Amino acid sequence: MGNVDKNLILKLSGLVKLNLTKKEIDILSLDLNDILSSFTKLNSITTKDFDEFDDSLKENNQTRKDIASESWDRQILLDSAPNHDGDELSIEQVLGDE
Amino acid sequence: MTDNLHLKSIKELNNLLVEKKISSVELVNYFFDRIDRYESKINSFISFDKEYALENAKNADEQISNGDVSLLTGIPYVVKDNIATKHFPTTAGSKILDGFQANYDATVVKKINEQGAILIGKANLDEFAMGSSTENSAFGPTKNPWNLDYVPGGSSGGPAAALSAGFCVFSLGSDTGGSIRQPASLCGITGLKPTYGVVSRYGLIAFGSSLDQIGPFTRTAEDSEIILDVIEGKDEYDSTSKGLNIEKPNIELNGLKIGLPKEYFSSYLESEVKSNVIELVDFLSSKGAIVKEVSLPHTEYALSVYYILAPSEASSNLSRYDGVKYGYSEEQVDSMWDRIEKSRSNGFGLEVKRRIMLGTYSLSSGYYDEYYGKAEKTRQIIKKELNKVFDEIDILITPTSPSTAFKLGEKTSDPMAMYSSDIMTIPANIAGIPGISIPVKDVNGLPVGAQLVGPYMSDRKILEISKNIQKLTDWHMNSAIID
Repeated sequence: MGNVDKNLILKLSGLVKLNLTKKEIDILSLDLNDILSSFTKLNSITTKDFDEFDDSLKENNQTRKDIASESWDRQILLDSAPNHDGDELSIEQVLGDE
Repeated sequence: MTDNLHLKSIKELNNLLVEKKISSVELVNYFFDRIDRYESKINSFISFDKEYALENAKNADEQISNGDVSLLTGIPYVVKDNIATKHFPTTAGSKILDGFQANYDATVVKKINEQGAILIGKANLDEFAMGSSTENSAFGPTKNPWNLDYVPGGSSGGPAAALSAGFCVFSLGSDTGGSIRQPASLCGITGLKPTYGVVSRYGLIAFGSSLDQIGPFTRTAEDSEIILDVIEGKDEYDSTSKGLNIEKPNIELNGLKIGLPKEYFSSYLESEVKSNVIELVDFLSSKGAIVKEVSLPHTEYALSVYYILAPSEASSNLSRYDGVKYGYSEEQVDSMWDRIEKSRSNGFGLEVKRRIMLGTYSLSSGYYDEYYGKAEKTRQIIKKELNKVFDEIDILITPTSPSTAFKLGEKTSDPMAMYSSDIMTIPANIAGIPGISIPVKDVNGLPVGAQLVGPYMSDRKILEISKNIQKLTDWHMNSAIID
């Protein structure tokens, strides 16, 4: 546990879409090593009899069967949107022209 | 008009309003006078709106004149700024939500507003509720009203400080690892984290979804009960909500079985904090409570479990902030990916980035079993251990925080030291059980809180015990005097 180098920080930052500055990379390398090292104490616990998915949410989640019903009126939805073009909603372009 | 309105309880103010000794408009003006005088020193708000509050206060006065009154009619309150509101922007203390305006009220806000209470503003917090000092806010740090050189705790430092400074009658916070109880302790007020599921999370900006819970800051446990009665309940918009549906218990201090977990009274606890909490325990003992030492040996793993699970859930919850759907969006970009990366990089602060990275690491292939899987299993051991201890006792009493408030800047460069501030409060979140912090005797002018923790769905029980304590003691009557 606790072996985070700058290359791993760069790999992780790529996964989570963060462009870190050099200073942030230095700080986070140190911090993550410190934090992860503190987790080593968990190794001393025997957990083989426990299921990781048997968590508190399982007890709490209240669900019901789907019920088919009338949806919103198309025109109300169109009128509620900031912009629309005929029967289609207009949204900000995110993909670029390429 | 009556003096010191900011120190009065909800019922006392309700009586004054109903008897027409004050009006809601006068009450709102009273609190805004205090805000005008002191807020520049405290920085507890991210936004407030006097005109909006006065407009609602006029309506409340009309309701009172018509005899259409609830306990909260005309009572001013404040909400932590990670709880969605239609009228005010919702920032979560982050630049990345700059300009975000929700088009709905969170269920808790809707319920309180329906009772006629007056929302006067949104309060500061550690960005996305990640922190223990309210120093990680894009809107600057909040100061502790008891001593402006000290932090108010966090992450709900804004709503705690706003109440402690006398800017409102009650406020709402959120508690993922202690974010209501720890600032309540450091600001000398009462703070309740209900059982997970008792209060709807609909409209609360998600941080750690299996841990988050909304709760009240109040001057008294009686006020906390009043607010809980309004906000609890099953909500069709939150599938994990259940509500309490349990009648109010009648609990005597005589014969009450109190457990003192020895692991919480160890050497890293400040000695004066320890002795002041023990003073409360001795008082309860003198009233007939039965006190016994208990052991919760897996408590030492709770901090590690929390700092694996909460960042893991946060790394997923915060992936939605991409510069497209909400708030801040970088304009000078070359492509979609460039927009996402630049918006997230410039929009999030360092602590949020740290937790996103930590959570992603814990969940990543190759490390999952070692971290997330192990933490989830250990969570169950801690939960089982806590459930078992309540077979022999009614409640646990512990310090809420290992120390009184610390100085601004003291822990900002040491994440592990900051994370340790939550060591007493995290187990209740891990187990999903209720906890309340109530003031005990202060240390050199800085407040100390005692934490009462009860079994699953025992919210009314810990409130009743706290009310009984506050009927017989006056520690909760102390208030901040702002320099």
